[in-house]
Amino acid sequence: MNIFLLILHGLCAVALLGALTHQAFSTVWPRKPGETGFVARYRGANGVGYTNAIVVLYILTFVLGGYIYIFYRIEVRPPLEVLGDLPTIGTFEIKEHFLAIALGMLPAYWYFWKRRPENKMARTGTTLLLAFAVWFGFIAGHLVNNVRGLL
Amino acid sequence: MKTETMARAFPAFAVGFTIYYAIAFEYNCCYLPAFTYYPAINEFVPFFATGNDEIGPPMHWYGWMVNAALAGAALAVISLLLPAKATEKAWGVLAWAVPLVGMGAMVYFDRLFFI
Repeated sequence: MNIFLLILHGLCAVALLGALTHQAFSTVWPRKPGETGFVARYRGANGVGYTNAIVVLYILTFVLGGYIYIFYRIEVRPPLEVLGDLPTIGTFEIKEHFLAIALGMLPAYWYFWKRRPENKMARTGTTLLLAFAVWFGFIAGHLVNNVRGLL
Repeated sequence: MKTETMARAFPAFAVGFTIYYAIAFEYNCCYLPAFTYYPAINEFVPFFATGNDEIGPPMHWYGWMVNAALAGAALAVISLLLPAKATEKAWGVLAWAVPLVGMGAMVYFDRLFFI
């Protein structure tokens, strides 16, 4: 069951990463008229259309992660502590902090996309920070998963 | 209260949440977490508590987030009492700048894992 939830958590994270990265690119590097290449089309996404999906995916991924975190604490972290692998534990600690802070920022992110789209700086700031937290969480989660697999 | 009015308080929520979370982590004690969870025995204890070999490691993360949400909600309510026009620009910056600084602070607080 834990493995199933971990994989589901990972799949939700992939979907979230895809949507958020798409939106971030469309925000900071929007497509210009006449650009037709692959990268331009990637940047040409309508960012506002992703907002609700990102909020839902973030909450879903976070809830799943928050649940399997229990198993990390009692099954994964103790062996890492015995081995003295502090950088891996620290990386995971930072991941949980980043994602908790990003969760608190999520209503503001939604607000600046849906209610105050004219405030481009706030929209860009919340989107980039959210994307950074999710990318960091994704990489840190994989790192810990791989390290645990080596034990 | 109208949904539009409530939504105006969301940036302040982010600020209050981040500040409380960072303080709760750094000074973790007393009433800073709403509760402590013991995953090995699946039990909750109110506020801060330590673990031992019998009951296993404590988890404060969930408790920090609950209280951080309350702190965020409190600041959100206060923000609604301030004049909307005058503060709108400031919240637009603080909503992402405070979480950014908060994330930097968390890296600093966790630096002992890496040195």
